[in-house]
Amino acid sequence: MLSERFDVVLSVDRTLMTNHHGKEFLGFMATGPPVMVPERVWMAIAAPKVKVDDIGRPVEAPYGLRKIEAALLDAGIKAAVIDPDHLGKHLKNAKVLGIGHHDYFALGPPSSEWWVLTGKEPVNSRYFKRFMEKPEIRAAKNNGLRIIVGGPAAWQWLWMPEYFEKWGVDTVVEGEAEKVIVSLVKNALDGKPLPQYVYVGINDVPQVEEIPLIKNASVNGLVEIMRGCPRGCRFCSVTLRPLRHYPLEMIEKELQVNKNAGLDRCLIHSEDILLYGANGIKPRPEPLIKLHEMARSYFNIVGWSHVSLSAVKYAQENYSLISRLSEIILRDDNDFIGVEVGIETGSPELAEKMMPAKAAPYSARSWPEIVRESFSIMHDVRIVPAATLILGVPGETSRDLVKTLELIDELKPFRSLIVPMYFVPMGVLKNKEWYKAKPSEEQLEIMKACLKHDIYWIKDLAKWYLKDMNPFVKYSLKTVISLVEKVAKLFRLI
Amino acid sequence: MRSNRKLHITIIKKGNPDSLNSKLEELIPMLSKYNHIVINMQGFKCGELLETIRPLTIRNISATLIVHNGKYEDSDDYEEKLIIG
Repeated sequence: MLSERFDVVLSVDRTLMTNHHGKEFLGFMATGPPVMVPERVWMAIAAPKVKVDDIGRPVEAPYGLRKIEAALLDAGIKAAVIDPDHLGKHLKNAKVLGIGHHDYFALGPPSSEWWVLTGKEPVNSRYFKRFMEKPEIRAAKNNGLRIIVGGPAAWQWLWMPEYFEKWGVDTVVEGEAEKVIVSLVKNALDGKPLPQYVYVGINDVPQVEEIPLIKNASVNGLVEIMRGCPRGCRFCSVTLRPLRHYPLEMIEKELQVNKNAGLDRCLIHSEDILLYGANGIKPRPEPLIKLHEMARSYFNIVGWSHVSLSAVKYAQENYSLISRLSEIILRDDNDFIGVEVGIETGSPELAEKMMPAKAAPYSARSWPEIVRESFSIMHDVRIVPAATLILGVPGETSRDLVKTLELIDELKPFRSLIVPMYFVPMGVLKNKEWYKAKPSEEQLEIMKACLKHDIYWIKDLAKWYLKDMNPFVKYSLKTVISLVEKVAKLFRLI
Repeated sequence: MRSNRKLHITIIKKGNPDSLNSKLEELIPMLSKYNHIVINMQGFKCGELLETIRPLTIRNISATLIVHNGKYEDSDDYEEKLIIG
């Protein structure tokens, strides 16, 4: 007999219900197919099982699921996040299964790119499909379970409606769901009809004081500090959401939840950490220093999710703020932190068209210079950017791609990783063989240049990044890197 | 504070999906007037329904969309009711 029964079970497949060995960047491996090693080894590196309690609740779970769990608990609904290996015993009693995912069908970046390049389905999509086919979920569905899906990849259900029908999904929720989920779940529990699709408009996104605080720990101690982004890039959906900054007290409560659960690290999350408490798009020292000192008072290891390159340049030029923040975060002279940044293009013309405010307060025409300078600043203070490029955006020309190639070459002296993301226009998905689309010659040249850059730096970075890891993962990862390098040389890719 | 302006749309499946698509496209500019839009889709299979409403979901409209398969009205305080098909 279970000691606790839940009306609502929240879960997701193993590619997301994991802490990636405490190394967020290993999570990127879950967006690709296994390369040169069996799938089981690939998954053991990228997405190991998480610790669970005696009834299968994970100690750490994806932050989005934790927010939904918090919203439901605050509304008095019996809900819990459950590990995918422990669903059976809970789904016998549950009336609703809620699922959130970053990339259900591997249609988003960078999964779609790996699919195009290798012709193999990435593990995130494979594991999600297996998750939905689990006998315990099928049996519960046959007994009347209502299935509600959401998260950043909710849009993908509209392009894969056959799976919606096949698995008997009841509702897709697209957008920030904390407010709408409570009434949806109450209706589901009362046996009332559910809408098949909900798109959360700007009037239904929560105000900052309405955002529920997580009640249980998040993966790698991730805590959100703000939502939305003011930069308005054309390719990004985050920018459509209103900008909201969490007060420090809210952030501290979530840090405490993670600390109390025994986590030893935190990951500060926003679309642009440096805009926390900013004056528009100009970073301000005071709120950032307070935030970092507070995070550091709870955890030895403090990480960043994303920063914008123009904010790095502005913060350092005006306040030496990147140096000051790195002094707060880094534990010693051998420590580094990694952070995701968006280069997207090396072409000022394309930057002006697709992301005119990404360079602000500087001119979009000076974008390549901003990228070079911010990489140089981060290199000096041991912050390692994992940068994205976007290839194939509408309006991209050969000239734009040549400028991107030149910029990659100029970034060689700076410790970093550069990952090209292959833009998949949604219209292409109507063609069921979309993943066989091939990149152009110039795009391939950029991919090769990125591979060369990354292999050059990855061996240096591995010394730091892998130093605390278990020997099996360290050995496996080094083997994969070495094999990739050998094959790349064999095929003259580098 | 914006008022809660609600629109109700009934979409009935008839023969030509292209014609329905163009009617939905024509509808998009007026949707920004509303905060909540409840749509009843009649005569659609689940998968078809998602494909049919896709044009509305990729246009960055500011309203909340609630799409039901079949007849559903949660209240009668709609400012406007439309039927297309």
